[in-house]
Amino acid sequence: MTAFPDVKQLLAEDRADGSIYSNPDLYDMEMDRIFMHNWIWVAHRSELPEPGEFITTFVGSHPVIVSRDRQGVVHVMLNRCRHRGATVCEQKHGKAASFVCPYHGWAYGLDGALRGVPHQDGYTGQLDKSKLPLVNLRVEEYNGLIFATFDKSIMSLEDWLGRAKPWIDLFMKQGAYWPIKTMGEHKFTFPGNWKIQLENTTDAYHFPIVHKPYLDSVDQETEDTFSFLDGEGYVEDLGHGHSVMVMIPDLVDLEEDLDRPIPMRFEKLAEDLSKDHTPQEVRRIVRAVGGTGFNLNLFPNLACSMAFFRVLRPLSVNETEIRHIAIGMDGGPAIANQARLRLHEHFQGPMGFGTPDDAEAWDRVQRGSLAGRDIPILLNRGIGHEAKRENGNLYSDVSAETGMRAAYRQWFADMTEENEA
Amino acid sequence: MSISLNDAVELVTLEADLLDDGQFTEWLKLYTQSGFYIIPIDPDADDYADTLNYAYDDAEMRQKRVERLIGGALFQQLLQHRQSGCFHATGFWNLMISDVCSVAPSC
Repeated sequence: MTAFPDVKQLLAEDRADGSIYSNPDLYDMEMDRIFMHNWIWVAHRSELPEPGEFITTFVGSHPVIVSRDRQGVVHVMLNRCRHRGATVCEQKHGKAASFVCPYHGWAYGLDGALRGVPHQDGYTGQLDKSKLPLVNLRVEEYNGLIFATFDKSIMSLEDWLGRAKPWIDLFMKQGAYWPIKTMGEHKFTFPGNWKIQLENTTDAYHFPIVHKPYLDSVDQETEDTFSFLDGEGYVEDLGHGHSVMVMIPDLVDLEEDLDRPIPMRFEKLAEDLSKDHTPQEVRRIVRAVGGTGFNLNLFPNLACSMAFFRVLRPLSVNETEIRHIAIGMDGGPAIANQARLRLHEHFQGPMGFGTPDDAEAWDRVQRGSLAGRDIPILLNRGIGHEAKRENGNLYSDVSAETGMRAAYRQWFADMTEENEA
Repeated sequence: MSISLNDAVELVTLEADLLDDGQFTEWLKLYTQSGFYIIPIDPDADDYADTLNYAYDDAEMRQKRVERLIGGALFQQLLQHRQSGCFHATGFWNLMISDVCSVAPSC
C-alpha cells in the first residue's frame, strides 16, 4: 500500500511546497479525500430542464450521468453497468427513456433502476434486479446549481455553501427578468495541476500583467472599469474553501443604481432594446449583459466567474480540463444573449483575447515549479492587512491571496481529515 | 451571384498562405466591411450569431485580432517562442454554401 505524503509538511498559512503541483501520491490522495468527500458541481439546471433529459460528466475521476426522471427528480449515477462495468451512455447530452448497456443489453431507467436483462433465465434465479441499479450518488441543488457527492455523511449542500449562498444569489441576477441558462462552452486542457487553476480564479494580481493584450483591445471606458487593482475591491474568505473576489464593487448587485450612465460599449444594444422594452427594463437588461464584477470560487471545482461558469476537472497530477460555460437569459431578448456570447468569445476560449494568455502563465507555473527542491510557493500577499468582518469572514485588498489561503485551508482540512476550515 | 468551387479553393488557399506567412494586414483586406470571420464550435449550428463560437469576428474584431497578433505586449513575446511547428494542410474540398456573400468550405 502506498504511504500518503505528510501533508502537514507541505502547507503553512502563507506558503506551500512546490511539490503540491507535481506529487502523484498527493494527487491520488486528493482524488479520494477531496473529490469523493465534498460536494462536486455537476450541472446547471438549464442543461436538463425536461423529464428524460440527461448529460454525462464526471465527479472527480468517476464518469456519471446526470438525468431528470419522469417526476422531474435529478439523479447523478455512476456511468457503469452493474454487469461487467461498461459505460451505459457516451452521449454528451440528450433525451432518453432508458440507458441500455451496449455490451449485453442491460437496460436502466432514468433513476438508474435495472429494468431489463436479456436472457435472464441464464441466471437461474440468482440475479435480483432490485439490488443492481446504477449506483446513485447523493444529489442536492441550490439556485440552479446541481452538486453531487459520494459521501452520505457530509453536511447538507446548503450548509456547505453557507456564506457563499448570498453571492450565488447575486451572481444569478445576470438573468435580469429571466432564469439563467447555459449557452455552450469552451473546453480545453492545460498541462498543469488543477490547483493552479483553482488559484487563478481568485487572483486579481495577474490581471493587468497577463491581460494587457485584452485591455489593449477594449475601449477606454472598459479598460478603466477593468483597471481595478487600485480600486475599492476586496477578497473575502467565505468558509469551507469558498471565497469571493470583488473586482468591480459597482457591479456586485446588478439591480442597484440602475440610473448610472449606460457604458458606451452597450449604447447601441440599449437603443435596440428600447424598441421592445421600457427604459427601466433596458437598463436592467444591459446591466445583466455586462455580467457581475466578482469571481465566486466554490471549492473545489466551480467558479461563478463574472459572467460565466468556470469548471475544472483534474485529469492527472499534471493535466487539467477547464470548461468556460457561457450563460444567458432563458427567454430574454435574443440580441442581449448575442451580446453576451460575443463578450464570452472576446475573452474566453482558444481564440479569445484572455484565455490563451492565462494558459501560458499556468503552463509556466507547472514547468517552473519543478525546478529545485524545498522552495516554497508564496501565498502571503495581503496577509499583513487582512482583517475580520463582524460575521467572522477574513478579508483583504482585491489583489490579496486571501482566497487562495481559504482554499488551501479547506484542502488541508480534507487531506488531514481534521476539522473543517 | 455565386462562386465556383475553384474560386473558393483559390480564396481559402490564399487566406491560408497569408496567415501562415504572418501577413495579417493583407489578410484583413480579403474581407468586405460587412463580412464575418467565423470559426464555429458546433458543426451542426446554422445560426452562428445565436451560438457560441471560437470566433465570430466583425470588421472591428478582425482588426483587433490582427493588432493582438502583431502588437500585443505579452502575446507577441509568446508568438515568437511558440509559433506552431505543425504542418498546415488543406484538402478534401467541398463547397457547402455559395452565394454572393458567404463561402463555407469543408476541408
